[in-house]
Amino acid sequence: MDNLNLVLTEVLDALHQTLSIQELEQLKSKYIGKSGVITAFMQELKNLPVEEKKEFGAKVNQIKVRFETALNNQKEIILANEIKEKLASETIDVTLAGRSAKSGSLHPVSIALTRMLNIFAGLGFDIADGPEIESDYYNFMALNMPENHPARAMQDTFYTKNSKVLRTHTSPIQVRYAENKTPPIKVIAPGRVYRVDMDATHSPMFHQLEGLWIDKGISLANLKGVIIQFLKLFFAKEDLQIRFRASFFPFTEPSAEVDILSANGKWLEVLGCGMVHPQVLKNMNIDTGVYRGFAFGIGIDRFTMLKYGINDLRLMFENDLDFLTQFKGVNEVSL
Amino acid sequence: MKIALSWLEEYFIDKPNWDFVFDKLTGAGIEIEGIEPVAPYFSGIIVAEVVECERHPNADKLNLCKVNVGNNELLSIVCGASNVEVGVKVPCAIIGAVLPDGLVIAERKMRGVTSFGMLCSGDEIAMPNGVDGLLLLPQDAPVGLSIRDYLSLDDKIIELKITPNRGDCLSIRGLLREISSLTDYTYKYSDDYILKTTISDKIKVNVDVAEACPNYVGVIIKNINNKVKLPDFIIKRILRSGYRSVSPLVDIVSYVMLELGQPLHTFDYEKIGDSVRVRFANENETLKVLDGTVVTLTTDTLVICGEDNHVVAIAGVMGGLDSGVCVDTTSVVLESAFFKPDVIAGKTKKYVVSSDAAYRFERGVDTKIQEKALRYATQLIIQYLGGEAGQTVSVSHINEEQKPSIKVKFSEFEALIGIKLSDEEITAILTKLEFNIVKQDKVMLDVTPPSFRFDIAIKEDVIEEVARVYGYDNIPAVLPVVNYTMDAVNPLQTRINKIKSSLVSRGYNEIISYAFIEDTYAKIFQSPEGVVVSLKNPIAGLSVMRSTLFAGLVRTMQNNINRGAESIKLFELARVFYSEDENAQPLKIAGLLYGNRDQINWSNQRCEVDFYDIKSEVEILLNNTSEIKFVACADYQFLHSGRCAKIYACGKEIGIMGQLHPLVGQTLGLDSLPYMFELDINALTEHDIVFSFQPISKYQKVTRDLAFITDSSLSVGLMINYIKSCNIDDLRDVVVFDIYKGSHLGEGKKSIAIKLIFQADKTLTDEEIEVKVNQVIKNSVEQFNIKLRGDI
Repeated sequence: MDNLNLVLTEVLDALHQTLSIQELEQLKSKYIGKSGVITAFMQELKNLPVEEKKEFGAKVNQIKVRFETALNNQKEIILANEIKEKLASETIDVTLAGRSAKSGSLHPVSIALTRMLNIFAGLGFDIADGPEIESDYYNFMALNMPENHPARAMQDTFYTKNSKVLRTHTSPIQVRYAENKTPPIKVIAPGRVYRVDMDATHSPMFHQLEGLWIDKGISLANLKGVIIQFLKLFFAKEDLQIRFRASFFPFTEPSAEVDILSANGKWLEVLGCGMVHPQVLKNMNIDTGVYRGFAFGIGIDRFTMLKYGINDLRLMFENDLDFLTQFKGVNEVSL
Repeated sequence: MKIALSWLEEYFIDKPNWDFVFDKLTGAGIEIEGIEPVAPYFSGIIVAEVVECERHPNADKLNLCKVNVGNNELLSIVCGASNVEVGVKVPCAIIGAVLPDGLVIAERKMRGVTSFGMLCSGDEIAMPNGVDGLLLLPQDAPVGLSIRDYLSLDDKIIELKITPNRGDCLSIRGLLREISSLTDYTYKYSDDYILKTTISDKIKVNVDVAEACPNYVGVIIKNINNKVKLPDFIIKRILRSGYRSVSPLVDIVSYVMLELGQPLHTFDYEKIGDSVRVRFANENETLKVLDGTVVTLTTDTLVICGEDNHVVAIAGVMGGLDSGVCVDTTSVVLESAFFKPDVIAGKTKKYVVSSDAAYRFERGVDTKIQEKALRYATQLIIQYLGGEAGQTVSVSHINEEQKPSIKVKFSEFEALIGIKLSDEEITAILTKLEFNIVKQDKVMLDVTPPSFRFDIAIKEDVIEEVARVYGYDNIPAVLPVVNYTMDAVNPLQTRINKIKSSLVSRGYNEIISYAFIEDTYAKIFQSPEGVVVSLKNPIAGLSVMRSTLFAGLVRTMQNNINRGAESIKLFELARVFYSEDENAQPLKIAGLLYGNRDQINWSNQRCEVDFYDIKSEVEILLNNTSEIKFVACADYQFLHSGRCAKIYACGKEIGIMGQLHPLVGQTLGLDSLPYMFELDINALTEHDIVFSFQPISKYQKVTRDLAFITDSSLSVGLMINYIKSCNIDDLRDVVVFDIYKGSHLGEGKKSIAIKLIFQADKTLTDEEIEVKVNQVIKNSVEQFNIKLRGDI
């Protein structure tokens, strides 16, 4: 019996010293293998008198179980150590940059436009476009600007060799879209527009977003409702100060310009709008006795600059990568 | 339009609160664009007279002056100006005065003598006059008066943006009317101009075309002196309105136009004679205009002719050089007419002149004001230039009663504006705006606009007037009630968003470049699909509408290379222009890839991009387009003929891709050549894949590798497509995994290694697979004249 206890102390000691699975296997075979020390005790059992057999047998068995438990424990410890060492040896510098190329960027005008499209999509607006080399009819005549109308001088126009025009605004899309449709009509039309003007605050090419809503019972109050909602959503500012001023466009009557109050306390003109002029409705083949509507034109570039704090219009079309890549994390929901 | 605020203010009974008025004007469509003080802030500077002046005992260049500033006590002032002398009147800054630069005047010892103030030059009070020395004031300047009052420097210059419909506001008189209809301020303006006829001369007026000139008034004025000096206040008002002072006659004409809005014209009586005629120009008639050039007139040009029926002026636009007034003029014919807006419109553009008269006529001037303006100008001329006036002659066809009235229902105001105004509110506003209410009942209003308004023709115009005076800011904001129908997904917009986000996530930066390009670029980047579309009036040399987006991409790439960029990935979404036709302006998406494959990176060997880099981008963009095919192409003069492919979907051309032509690269000074693609967005959306779900097999995929030896010119893509098109059962995919060229294969040969991937609804046996593989081999060998290299 004392022998047994001695063996147990010895084997547990040995187990604790073991550092590898291989050593552990050796110990296992040394003690409980075919000719192991504990196995030998088991074999000794059959030579014992019956009365001792029971007690000795139980003891040997107990030792065997304790050995096996300790062995398994040690095995787990060794495995845990091994994986720990493996991980330590495989450790890398996680602060180094990822291998693949960097993300690109959307142009800020594009980001702002998507934001606008999403807002109007929520109101169920369709999206339309039209040609940029436009006929005099759609760009001017259909919009109630006959030849020599002083309002034409407000928009210095590019002409092609064959006397077509580069559209000076997105309003011609209104007419193109609406002339073959019956109300209700709800459409927005973003696009590039052109005017002969180039200085620090004017680009000969810029972007507008045209909006048109024609239905029964539409009023100036509705126009205000939609524009105010849009401005507050676009600038994500519920307390945005907005001012409507009377103005003049040949294609709307009444006409308005809309200002927002900027951080420096100055009113900034941001868009023009109005109730569609009856003559324009007639040019769209719409029954003016039944339907009315409003239209608005948004300067996308201006909105983009205000939204993202861009201070120089010229930057927008120089396409310097130092400018463009600043927008790589920005998307239409960014504030 | 600019005006001096003091001019406007003079007529109001109570001094208006201008900030309030400006807000009202801006809100009602007369936008105030600028408010500029005529002089910067300074104080304590008054009109003074130098009474004594002697040499400073200790300084050669200084004088000791005794100066009268009007309070019985003479100030001792040391002055260094060379033009100081006894008797001059000059601005004097007294103790405590603040100069425009902030300097405060205090007692100061100068070389042992105390100076109690400073005599000022024009520069020192921010009125530079180019004179070195004191600003000498007229002898009648009242001593002791503040210089600000004396020169009316507390005045402001107001800049207004008058929209083309509001020609009636292009004058002091018009603004008075507008302000009083928008506010409670009232003004007093008398147009009882005194005109004494003292000579019998009478101009004979022939109006051949009354429909173009419904009102013409003329008068002869003789014995005037056009060399006098007009009073300061007239000159100042003209200058502050942005006009030059030319001569007394011209200045008076400008002054009356600014005050009343009626353009006038003065002819030299000696040069045109006793009669004028208003008619349209005859074919090939000419006029020598003010700058000495001779213009040939068109027959739609209304002209004024002199006694001998020679053209002396383009009506309402400008006078001829030979009939104009000069300093020596002693007799004039003064013209005040109403020319129809549509007759004058477009003429300044046609004859490339700028004319303030035409600017007003094409917007419309008050049809009732011609005679008044003539009398006013004549009165001023006689008052300041002397002379005697003949009888005014008027040929008028103005008949206000004929102006059609506009009928509008009271209910229509609410319908259009969106708020209910009482009938009384509506009629009160219209009355204040000087509309004539012809008839009114419970339902309907019948009005005629005042004679000075040319923008009121339909009922919406009348409603707008009420809305803008009521104030847009007082109209509620109400979202419309929507009859909502759900819309289908917009395929084009969805595709655009998808393509853009795909490119962005793969490192491309979106650019927006001008649609017009320089001629030099247009010559290089001309798409074979289109003709050259050029502009008549380009700006900054950007004269051609681009036929491919490559021009802007390459230009942008160059700019960024110049700024030090090494790896460049760009894309743009825009229209290109194949012709001026509206259907030849397709929307394209184009990309450019240049330089190193990756940004500077700690890990990668840096290597240049190649054709297959850009091709993989295109393949990703086209992953939902069906039946894509790339076909070698040599049609593009600016693309490398051996590295260029046309892209087809379902047999229809949808785009192009390739490397920039080396010669173009050389011309543009590029060290390495970019790869580019351009796709037609609308064409893409027409060939979307039609998706149908396939059940997936539970059984393992089995692969077999094959290698062929072929001519190196063989298009591998065609071969793979061919194998796929043979419909071999259970062949799911074919992938190329190696292309190899080596001398032991023989000259002009290459080895192509492909992997065949099979999968069926059961476990395929080796024998079954072998049959299929053999079929691939047999088909390929027959079709392409190639050799099996043996299993690998």
